[in-house]
Amino acid sequence: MSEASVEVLFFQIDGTRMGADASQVLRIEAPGAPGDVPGAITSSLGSARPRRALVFRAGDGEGTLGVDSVLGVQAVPQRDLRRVPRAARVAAHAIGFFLDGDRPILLIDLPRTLHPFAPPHARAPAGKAT
Amino acid sequence: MEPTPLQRALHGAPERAPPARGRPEQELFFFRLGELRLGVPSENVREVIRAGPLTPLPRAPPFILGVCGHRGEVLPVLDLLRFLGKGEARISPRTRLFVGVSGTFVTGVVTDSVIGLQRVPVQDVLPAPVGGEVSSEHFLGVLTRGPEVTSLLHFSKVLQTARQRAVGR
Repeated sequence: MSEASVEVLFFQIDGTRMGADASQVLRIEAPGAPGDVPGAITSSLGSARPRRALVFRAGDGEGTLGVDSVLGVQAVPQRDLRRVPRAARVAAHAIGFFLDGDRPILLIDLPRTLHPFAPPHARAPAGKAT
Repeated sequence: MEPTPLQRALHGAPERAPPARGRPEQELFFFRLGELRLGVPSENVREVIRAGPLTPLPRAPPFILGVCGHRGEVLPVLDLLRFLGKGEARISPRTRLFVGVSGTFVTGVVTDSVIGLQRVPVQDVLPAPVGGEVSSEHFLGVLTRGPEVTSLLHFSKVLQTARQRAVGR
């Protein structure tokens, strides 16, 4: 029996490796700043010097997150996924970690990066995010 | 004949040493951090580990340095110096974390060096000074032994406040 896994798209923001559910990513724009995507809402949590933009669905439109680089998609075993520890639940878009050996890789929810000041327990607005 | 002082003293003396009167003791975990010598109740300490690579956490307050992985667990890493407003800890290859627990909260806490576990009489713990730079609610008291003063942390309260400060930002 094959092990349960989830496809995660890994990328870097300001030198830090992170991941997001690959199914949230509609496409990757390159090259250019994320603000270049017409009509899209740009997340303020992106890279200071973006070289790529992850484009994802945000309500009726699209959102973008600027990243340094895209590292690729990896099938991550569910057994290596962890929830955010209670003492560290400070950001709504930080939804968990992938334990790469003993190194936790932050996993984020892309639509929630558009609402970075929502409380950690907040859900993405209904109909605004997947 | 009048009994001598020695005879009088012996008259009331027991045949064997009296049982030691129970002196309640508390087991504490001691460590150094910056200029501070700190202690926490041993029941709040699960183990001591080497500080591995830290993953930064977005929007975390400065006293949460990030998270690290340990035996399949993700631990937030707490810098008590920043939390107490006493500077900031430096992470080096010699840095050790103690894994602190309070209820369902588990966190790694940065130390410069670990002193270890010691049992101390509860009566030796003096109340924490009131009106100092740091809120006394985060301390159980102080322990003075020779020239060294150890501040005893109310670890559960520290974690509770850290959590409140983190989510309240």
